[in-house]
Amino acid sequence: MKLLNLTARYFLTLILLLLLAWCGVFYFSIQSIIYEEVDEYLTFHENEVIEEIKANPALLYEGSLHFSDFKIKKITAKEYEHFREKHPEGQFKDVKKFIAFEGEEESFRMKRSVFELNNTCYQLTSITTLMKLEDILYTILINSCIFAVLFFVLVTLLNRVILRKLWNPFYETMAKIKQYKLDKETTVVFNKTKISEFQELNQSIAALIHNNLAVYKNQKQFIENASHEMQTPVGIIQSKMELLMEDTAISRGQAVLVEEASEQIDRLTRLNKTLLLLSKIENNQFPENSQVNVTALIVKCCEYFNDLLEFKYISLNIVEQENVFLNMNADLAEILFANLIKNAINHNYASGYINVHIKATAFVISNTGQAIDFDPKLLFERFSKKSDNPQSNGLGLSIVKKICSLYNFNITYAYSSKEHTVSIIF
Amino acid sequence: MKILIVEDEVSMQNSIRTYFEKSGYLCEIAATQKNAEEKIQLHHYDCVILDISLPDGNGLRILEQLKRKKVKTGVIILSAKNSIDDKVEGLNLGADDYLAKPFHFTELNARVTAIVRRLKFEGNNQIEIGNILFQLDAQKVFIAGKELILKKKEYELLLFFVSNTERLISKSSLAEHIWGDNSDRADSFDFLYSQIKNLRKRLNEYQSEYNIQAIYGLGYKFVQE
Repeated sequence: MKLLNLTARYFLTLILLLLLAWCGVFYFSIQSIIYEEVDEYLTFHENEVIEEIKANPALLYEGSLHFSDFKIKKITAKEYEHFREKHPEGQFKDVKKFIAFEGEEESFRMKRSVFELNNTCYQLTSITTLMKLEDILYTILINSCIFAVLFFVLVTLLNRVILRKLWNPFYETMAKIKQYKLDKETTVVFNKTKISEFQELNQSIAALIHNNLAVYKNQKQFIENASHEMQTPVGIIQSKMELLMEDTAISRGQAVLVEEASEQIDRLTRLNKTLLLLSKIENNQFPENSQVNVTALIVKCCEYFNDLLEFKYISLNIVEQENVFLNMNADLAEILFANLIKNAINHNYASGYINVHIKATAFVISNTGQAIDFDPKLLFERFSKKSDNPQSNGLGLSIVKKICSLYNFNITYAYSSKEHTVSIIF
Repeated sequence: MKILIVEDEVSMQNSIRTYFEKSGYLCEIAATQKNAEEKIQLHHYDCVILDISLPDGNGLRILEQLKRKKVKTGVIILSAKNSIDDKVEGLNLGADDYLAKPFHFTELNARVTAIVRRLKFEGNNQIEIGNILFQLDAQKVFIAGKELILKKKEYELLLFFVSNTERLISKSSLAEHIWGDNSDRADSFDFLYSQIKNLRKRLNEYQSEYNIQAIYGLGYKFVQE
């Protein structure tokens, strides 16, 4: 879940809860205000009635005062005392009355009080309608909903506009890291941001990349230097071995030992040479590019292997588009195609075939051969090949891959109906 | 025949000297640039085997000095760097050949022989050994006057044998000579066996005075029969 959405979600939940609580508070405060007002009105009304009666006691007996909103009834002195004791300020009460013409019950507010006139005790009951609390609640809820919707829209807009703008440096940084590849050996430049957290993040990442790059370069340099340094002792061993071989005095048994040791030195030499080449490609030591006529190069390569093809009775079929040019280093181009053709011969059956297609956009080579017994994804990885062939160091295809990635060629491998196919899209 | 070996590794100096002295060359050694320059001033050499990474400077300066002297000295550069820049610069400065370390002696021998031959017999670029005659420019081989038609790789192979007459040639140096950096192949040896078998048969047919002899499992020698 995106951070922005998550923030919005928490925010909205919180707002909803707040709104609910606020509705409750609003409802009760409105209710208390209404009661206060109504009770005040009833007290005022009652005082007026009592004063009117005290000024003119005759009114008590004329029925003209007997309206529906108040009633006066005689009570005993005892009842009067009792009431005064219990409700010195008068008694307030909610009552429900059935209103015939509305066909439903309505809420009313009632006030009872007692007074004395000419030694007689009376009880005065006044009544007034109360606004429907349900209606109030309903109105409040409706308004709250409208408010909530408005709030939601506001928050969403805030998210879309402000938060997005605030988080923008973060997304920019993310995009840059995603694109970054250590082996391309580029540095990343982040845009400046006013937000200190993001600024700090960018600085940390830049420092991390810088350090990793240094370690990576160091590592690469180490491989190259190590391979270089090994050349001399290996060369000396090889030379001594050759002198020993020439010694006419050695026995047949010694010759076998010398031969075996010498084979391993050759293997070491080849391995070292290949590693050196790999690290040279990685260290970008083949900078001179030129327009290489790939068609001519491949045809020349095939001719070079012609005797070997004949020896293995492999038929070679080249479908070529003339004069395909690629802008690359000529030596690397030769290494690339020679390796692939060599591979196609090496991993072929006797009397098999090789098909080579050269197009302006692609080079496809397919050959008959046994299926590989490991994950094809590992085919281009260094030393991944568990070859039983001691002459092969398993680095040929990783060189091919290296060269392809240097020039951004897309290389793929497929095996179907007993045919290996390697395609390079330029 | 006089060779100057410019090489700073003592072990390597000894190996090269031992090898070439067996071929009857007169070998002198220089371990530094200064030493090499002095020797070049004083003596004439048919060939200089020049390691270009020396403790007191780049061996290419020695090459420049040699060329200024305008004497006919062949130069073969040895380099552990195997860098294309060195190769191009060396050949531009007038070196006759370039060989990356580590190398096989038979390869170095063949190249030194070729350089010396080119310098000695100008205009007449051919090799005669026994009744075998190589016309190098035309890439033709005659045995007792009869032309022996060979495939490209067979020709290269026979020439390599001839250039290393009476010396042991290991299988791997053969494979490397024929296939260069592409010798890392399972069937390159099988291929060589069949080529060598074929060559022997044909040399026999043509009644060559020299032929290929297998030495234990070590390799081959081109010897007089």
